[in-house]
Amino acid sequence: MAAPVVDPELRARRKEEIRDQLLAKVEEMLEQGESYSLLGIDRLASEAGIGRSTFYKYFADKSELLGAWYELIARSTESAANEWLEGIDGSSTRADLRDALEDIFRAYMPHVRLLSVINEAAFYDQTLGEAIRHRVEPGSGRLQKHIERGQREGWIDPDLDPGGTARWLRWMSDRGRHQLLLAVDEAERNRLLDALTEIVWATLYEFAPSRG
Amino acid sequence: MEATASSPAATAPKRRREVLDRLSAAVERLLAAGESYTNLSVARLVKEAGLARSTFYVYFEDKADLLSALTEEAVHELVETTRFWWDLPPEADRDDLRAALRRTYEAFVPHKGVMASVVEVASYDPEVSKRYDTLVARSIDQAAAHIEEGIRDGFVAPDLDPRRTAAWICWMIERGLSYIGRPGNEAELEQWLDGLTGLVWNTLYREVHA
Repeated sequence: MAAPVVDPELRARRKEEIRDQLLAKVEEMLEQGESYSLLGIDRLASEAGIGRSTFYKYFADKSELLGAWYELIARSTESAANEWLEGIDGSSTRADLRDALEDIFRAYMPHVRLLSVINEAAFYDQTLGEAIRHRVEPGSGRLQKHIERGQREGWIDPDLDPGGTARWLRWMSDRGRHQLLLAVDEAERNRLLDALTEIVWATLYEFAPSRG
Repeated sequence: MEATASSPAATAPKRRREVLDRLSAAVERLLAAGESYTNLSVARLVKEAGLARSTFYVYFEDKADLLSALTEEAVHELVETTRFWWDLPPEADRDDLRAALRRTYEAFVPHKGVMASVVEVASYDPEVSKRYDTLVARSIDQAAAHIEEGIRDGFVAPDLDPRRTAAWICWMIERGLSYIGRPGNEAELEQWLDGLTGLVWNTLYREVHA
């Protein structure tokens, strides 16, 4: 028999495969109304067609798995967010902002149920909470930098507190997306996106000196 | 049987109130000390509240029943105090808004343990989660009514979608409150207020106050 695989690169790749396999399965189960907190590892592993021991070879528990999924999803939504934070400036219009926010919605929507589970779990799971804050903080940090740059260049309201405003916008989009977008049709989603665009536009850009 | 002034049936509401207040204070103390509601036992709760276990069960079925009574009350009070915001006169300025938002925060503080508990329990209990959503929906209704009134009377930006703007803002505030309610975060209160004031002022009022 071959020696056990120890190549760290191979192991990392295998872990990603398992993570993705479990991700697809769990999102399907959430879609059908199952509860993640009530889902046992045995059942989760068997549904995804992997052995229990394989699961534990890569993940300590369900919480670590949530963290791994969060990393994965956060990376794709963050690159959409960068389109906003790097693409919008003094020459942008409200319609440009709406497009940028819509791209973030698009990256996010396929995972909205799972992210809801992750967000809630983070409330009582310290480790997971830390992992998310680790992600969210740089996220609002980038938004803060965007606000500071806009204030310097005159296309964002100079009276805003950059750090505080970034935080609130982040809370709004994170919490609101989970609460508002979960069970709505396309038309309602568009109206919610319009309302969000309006709030972000008025808060940051509308009253900037360059638009006065 | 007809209840007289001294019968248990007549004194029950007053006694229930007293029991609820003691339990509420006990939850706040235990949560502030870093406990989580999920891990608290009824035994621990009644001990902290200085009550007999049997007294607890006269008024509440279990811990979940207590939490729903506590939440109902906390949210009622929170929704009441957002009145400071809704009742601002049309000529109110940014500083008045900031002061009103501070009062909402101050009303939240005595209940922050209960509010953290309900968010925690809602994360795994769909019943609690549903009830909590209904309670937040009440504040969304009020905010939407305020925006509609403001548009009609000319003190809120006319292009806003009242209902959806209110929904985004209320869920944002809900999350922001649970952040500032966590031990150690009070130090950020001024920045927290600055950020919230700027966002709400620019979104709702600034256009028509300019």
